[in-house]
Amino acid sequence: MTGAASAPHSTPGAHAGSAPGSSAGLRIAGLSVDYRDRGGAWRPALTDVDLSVEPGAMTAVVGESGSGKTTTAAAVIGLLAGNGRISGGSIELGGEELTALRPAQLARVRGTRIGYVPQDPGTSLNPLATIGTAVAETLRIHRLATRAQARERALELLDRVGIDSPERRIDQYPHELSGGMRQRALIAAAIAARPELIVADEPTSALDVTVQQRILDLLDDLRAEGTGILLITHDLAVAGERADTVAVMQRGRIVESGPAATVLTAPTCDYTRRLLRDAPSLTAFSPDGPQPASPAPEVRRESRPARASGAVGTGSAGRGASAGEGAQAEEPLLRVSGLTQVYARGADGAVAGVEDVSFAVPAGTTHGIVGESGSGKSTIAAVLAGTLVPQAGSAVVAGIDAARVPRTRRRELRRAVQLVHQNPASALDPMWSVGASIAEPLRSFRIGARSERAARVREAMEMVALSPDLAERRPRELSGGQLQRVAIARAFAARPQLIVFDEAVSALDVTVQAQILRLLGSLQAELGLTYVFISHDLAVVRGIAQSVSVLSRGRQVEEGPTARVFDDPQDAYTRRLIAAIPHPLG
Amino acid sequence: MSRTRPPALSWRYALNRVGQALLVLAIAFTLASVLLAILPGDAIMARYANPELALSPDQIEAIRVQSGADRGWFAQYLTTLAGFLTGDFGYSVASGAAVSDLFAAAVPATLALAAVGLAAAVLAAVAIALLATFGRQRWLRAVFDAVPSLFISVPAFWLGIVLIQVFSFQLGWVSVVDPSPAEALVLPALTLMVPLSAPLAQVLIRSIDEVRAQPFVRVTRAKGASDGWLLIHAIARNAALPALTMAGLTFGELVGGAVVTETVFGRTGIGQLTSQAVANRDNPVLLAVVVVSTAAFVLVNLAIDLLYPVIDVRLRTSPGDRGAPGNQGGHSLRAASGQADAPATAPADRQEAGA
Repeated sequence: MTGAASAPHSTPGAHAGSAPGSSAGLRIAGLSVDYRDRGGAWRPALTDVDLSVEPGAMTAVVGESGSGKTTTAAAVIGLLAGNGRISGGSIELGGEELTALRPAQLARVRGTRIGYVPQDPGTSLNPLATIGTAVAETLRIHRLATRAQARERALELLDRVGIDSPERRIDQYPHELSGGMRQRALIAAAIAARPELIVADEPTSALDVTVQQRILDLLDDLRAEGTGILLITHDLAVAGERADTVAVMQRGRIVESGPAATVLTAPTCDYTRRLLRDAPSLTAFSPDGPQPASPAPEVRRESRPARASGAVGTGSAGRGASAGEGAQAEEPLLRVSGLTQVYARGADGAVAGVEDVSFAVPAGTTHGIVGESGSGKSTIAAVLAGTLVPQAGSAVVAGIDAARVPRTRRRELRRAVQLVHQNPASALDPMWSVGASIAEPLRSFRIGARSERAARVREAMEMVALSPDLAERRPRELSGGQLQRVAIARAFAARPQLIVFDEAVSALDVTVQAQILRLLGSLQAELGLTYVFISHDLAVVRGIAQSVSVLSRGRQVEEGPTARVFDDPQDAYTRRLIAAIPHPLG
Repeated sequence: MSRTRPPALSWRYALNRVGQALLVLAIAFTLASVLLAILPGDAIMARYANPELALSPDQIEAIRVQSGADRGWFAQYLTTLAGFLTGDFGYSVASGAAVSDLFAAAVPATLALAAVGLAAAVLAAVAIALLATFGRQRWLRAVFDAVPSLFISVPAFWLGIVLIQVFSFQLGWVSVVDPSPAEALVLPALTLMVPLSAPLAQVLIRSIDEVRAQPFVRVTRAKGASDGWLLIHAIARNAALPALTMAGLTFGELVGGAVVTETVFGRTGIGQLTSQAVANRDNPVLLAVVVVSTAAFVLVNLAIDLLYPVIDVRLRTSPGDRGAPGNQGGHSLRAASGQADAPATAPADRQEAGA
């Protein structure tokens, strides 16, 4: 714990109650937690977990979903699910054993000595309470302030976490604030009673990168003031950039822990190495340069002439040259020009929807569309899929204008363009077996004879590396990664020419994400498919796309070959996006 | 969105809802008129064709002409409509009394019964729901979770008879012979309470469970809140909306319940008036019953609709704002809870970017 040792051990403005010296901070030793399953048997969720958070230091717990990191956070704040129990070990805060406390005593610790910052700011504030009420609630619960004092303090806190015009915001309701502001308000609420420890459970995973950066900066400031921070995250890059100590969890155990720099640069455990290899932001932005997750496009990229120049945010003249060798003279498979669908216009030039978007995608290549939420990415996806008729512009896919598709060619377009969404669980009918879902386009487009369909489904499943034995299963019996493979298999089954991926890997764990990306790359090489890959994650896009568009508030601020856009961004917004990606290795 | 804050309750919305309410009333009146006209025979026939009166068909026909019953139904419909619009509900064919007088006599008793019954039902529903969700023991929660199903299955007439049997005849707590006004109200109100409270409690249990599973409740717990604090400050208002909707709908139950209850307990009231009017084929009274109970139902639900924005701040924006996408700050409960599914799309981040 060298990182922690170098941090200040004093806790300015902290509790009189916290014990001095070595017992300060959070110490978890040998912690085991079990959950009771439906059959009544206890199954271990955490086994022998050791962790500590020094005052004024940040410890990050990293792992994939189901690794036990959120259970660790829940155990610390004493809010395990109803079927969970601590079966062994100790959790000490400032020298006091928390596992020995009765529920009422634990409730007095929560809020006053431990602050909790949740994952999803969208649902973590009471929709019917004002921001001021939420921020000052801890003070009111523990009777630390009168109503007037609480309001005073809430104003202070809102200002402290960087919310503009606190006097106005304090009386607003959550739905009137952006996601980033809500997360600031939640942090303000967590620090209201000046706790010595903050447990932050994936505090930025629901936020855009630029907002994420500012929230992490805020946590940094709190650490500098002497608060200990336990950061739960799936993002190794965030952990590496911000934390003093990193603990890697797998299947309820800590498999590796140590100073952040050591864990990230010299991992001793295979699992950590795999996580590092699969984290797109670490591979794509490591000092060695891009190492795309998908080997197949890599071949194309190397053969592509290096183009440092390129028109910025304008038409697609000469774009064909940036494709693979074979596609040079051909008409691109997809040509979007002047696409406009404006729902509303803000006073500052912001557009809800999209305005004047143009790009071209040669056959067999991938075009990435990058932007934050509300930038208009999904509007483009809807137009490409032929489900939205835009106000102006065209999107020609293999000779059919998706923006003005004649009734007679609608089915043709639907077959040529397939869509893969972010959430496969909602994109698959829960009552259907996954095999039936994959066969659906075969039935509706009358592809192949009835007797051949089973074989085609099998083939499609093998293509996405899913065991065909799973064909009879229902979606709820499969994992998120498997479901996304099913959704991809369904898209491929229609034999499309263009597949639009709308945040298709955003909800997946890094290793699953990397597998899917590799899969997409090899399928593209094999079948010569064209992809439009929409994502908020620049690193993922950099790994998979040959050309990229950057969207900001409905406007296309930059367009060009991926390497050029990332290495030499012309637009200030693109530069800000790239700068916001965590740089854990310096 | 925050720059121009619309008034808490838009007048356009209120006028719109009032217009809808009037439309419902007009439709109910017309439907009831048509249905009563379709029925074979009428009250004149029912009353004067009695063989004991020994009236000749000509004499009966004369009475029909005199009372206007011989005209086509549409002419009668227009006459009655004009009467209703001017506050004249016509005269009971059975007794000859003005329908408005009959109502004036019956409404207060039914209103008292309905008010007490509904209040008791709300209290019972809240108590059942709290025990079923916050009960300390698992078995206690399971028992009260099953209570709504039991309550809804009990027939009102049977319950009324059992209550009289037990509390009046065996225990002698409540006198049924010459009771005081309070005594006369207790058992009928209880009879009404049971079927009314069941759907309310059921909806309340589900919505409390749903709200309790929301992340913000966990966040509030992490602030050190007790169960009591959670219930009052985080859960109650959020869980109230669906139950309120249900309360408006069960008001319809109230009218039907009053018929049975008042008959079983021999109370005067709209229910008894209705059952007599049905027996006597007293169309003017029946029509008035339909219109008055529809009016009450529509009014109660209108009041509840107008209450939503008071309880839920997210509904306070004017309906005109709802069209614009990108403005998806959660105008409805559904929109707000739906955000949980989309981790990468926190709404309205343009504000943050502009800040």
